[in-house]
Amino acid sequence: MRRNSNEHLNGDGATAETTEVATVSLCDLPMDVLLHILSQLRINDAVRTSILSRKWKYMWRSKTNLSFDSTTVRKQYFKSPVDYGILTNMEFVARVDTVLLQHNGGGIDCMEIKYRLHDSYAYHIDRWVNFAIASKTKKLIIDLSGRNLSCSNVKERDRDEPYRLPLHLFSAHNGSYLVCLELASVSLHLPTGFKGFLNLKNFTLVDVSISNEDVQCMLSKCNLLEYFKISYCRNIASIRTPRPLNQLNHLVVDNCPMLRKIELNGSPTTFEYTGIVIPFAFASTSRPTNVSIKFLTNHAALDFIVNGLPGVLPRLESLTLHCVERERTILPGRPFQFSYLRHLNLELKILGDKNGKTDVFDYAHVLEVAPFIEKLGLHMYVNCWCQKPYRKEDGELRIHLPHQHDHLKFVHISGFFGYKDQVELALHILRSAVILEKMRITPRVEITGFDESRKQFYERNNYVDGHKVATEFVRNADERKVVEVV
Amino acid sequence: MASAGSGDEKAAAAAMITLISSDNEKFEVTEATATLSQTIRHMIEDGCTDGGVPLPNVTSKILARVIEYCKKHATAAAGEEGSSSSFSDAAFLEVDRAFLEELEEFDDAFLEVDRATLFDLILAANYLDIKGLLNLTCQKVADSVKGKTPEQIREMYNIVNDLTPEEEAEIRRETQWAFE
Repeated sequence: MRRNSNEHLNGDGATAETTEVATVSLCDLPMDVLLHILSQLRINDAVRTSILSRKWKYMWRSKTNLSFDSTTVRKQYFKSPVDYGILTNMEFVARVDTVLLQHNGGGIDCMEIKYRLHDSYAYHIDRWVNFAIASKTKKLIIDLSGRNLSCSNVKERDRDEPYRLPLHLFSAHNGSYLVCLELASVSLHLPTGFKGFLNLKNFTLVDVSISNEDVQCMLSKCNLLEYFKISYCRNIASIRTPRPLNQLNHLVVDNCPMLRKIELNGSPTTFEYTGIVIPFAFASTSRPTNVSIKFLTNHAALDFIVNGLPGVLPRLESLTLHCVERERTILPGRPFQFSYLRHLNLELKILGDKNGKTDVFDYAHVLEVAPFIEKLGLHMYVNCWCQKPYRKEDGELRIHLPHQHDHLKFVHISGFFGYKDQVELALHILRSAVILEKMRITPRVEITGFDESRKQFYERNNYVDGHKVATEFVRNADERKVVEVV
Repeated sequence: MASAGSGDEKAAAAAMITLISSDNEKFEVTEATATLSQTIRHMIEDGCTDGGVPLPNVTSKILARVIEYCKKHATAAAGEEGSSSSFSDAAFLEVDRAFLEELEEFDDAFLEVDRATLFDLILAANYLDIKGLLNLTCQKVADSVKGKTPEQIREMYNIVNDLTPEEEAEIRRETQWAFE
């Protein structure tokens, strides 16, 4: 068996390594450096160093980061003629137990368990949590979703009761070393009289069964909390904080299907939201300044900018907005001006119909709404059967009076399929932005999260035409040589 | 009238630190470069850098390389602070991305050294407390160990196996899973 594993280990590079004469010994390095190197090894590689020499025998047991997942805990590390084999849950549990039993239990910087397990393994997982508490773990990650496995059997998982975190984790003393806590696919119920985690700065919940009240309690009792992310939590209907959270500067709310309201007393500087259109309320209107919003239901971006945002986030500095739109926006006579806004990034999925209800040219108004903007990203995906790449025969291009813009320097337009309204918008920006340094236009769809195979489909169908139209009608109209078509 | 910005730049340019290697060679570096080392940063804060900083544990050959690393990464750090917060747009980040790639290439090339030099760099990074350099160099060692048999590691790094066959068998038994 040994010979066999050697064969598999002698991979690329091994021969090159052996040509170098070993003049220095790893043992020349001081212990703290060796521990540093161990911390950069996966647990299985670290454990294997115990057989190098007497000095190494127990060294790995002081490893300060422990990560258990399907890549670090495997059935076999050396590929058998067939494959690596499939690890059963009990085998995984047994291996984690072995490592934790042998580890010296000293201060752990990071302990990570990522494996698909549910509440019937609670007896074991509780023990691991106890290890984390006893070893004063600073960063604890418990992700029992098994997402990195190729798990297709979602139905079965839905039936399984999620692992319920033990109540004693939340006692004032036990949780006091935690700086970062990330939980996925578990259930969390705070005990009455929860006093908060004294040092917790970073808290992430993904697919966690938790109540509105417990989220509110966590937020208001963890005084040092700086970063909070809540994602796919199905029971959450509202996120509220009763008192100002001065330290919280980054809030991420992602795909909580029942969420209907976010109401914060005191606000983070950075706010990211993905979900249906819901009301936001921030007590302090000076913040947030850096916002990213992705609406999953139909809502025109321009409408949200001119009608939805001014009352809530008037002092925005940076905004990324992702919208699906089917209708044009009726603009107010004198739209609000975001005088702090410097960066605007729009991701627009425009689904038109035969009536031509949408018009990208409307986005010319962005220049009026954001008079101090320096960088503008316009990422489009236009799906409209009636649209064709523009040709001169299609009629004159519409021209708005140029709106002189003295700050815009960089514009990036993607998803430029060469439609008439896209040409008109690009030309309008080009004429208006007097200090423009660069306008990059590409027919490729560059909306984040857009399906890769669809991207390729649209590239095959639209790249040549889009590129041609952009070159002929936009770049050739540019005397300052700032337009680049890629 | 000079703007505040250019004044600051002048002040920063003026703040030079002299580092003295074990073989008495002097290296003039900017404060921004030198303070990538926490050890030197603390010395500057304590005001004991006049007349140069003697580094008796670092040879001129190694110090030159360490400074090369710090110079490259100090500009990177400055760039990060200067660039807009978290504006995640591919085109606007194009420059940053190119720079990061360049930095990665620099790091790769930087690690193209023999093992003795690598160890000297590790020791210097550890002594000077330069986190990035320590991570980089230790990672190189860690990568070279990954997936290797104990015999291969011993040979690579001159480790004498002083375990008795019984001890070795016992360790293998205890940690059998990692050897499968």
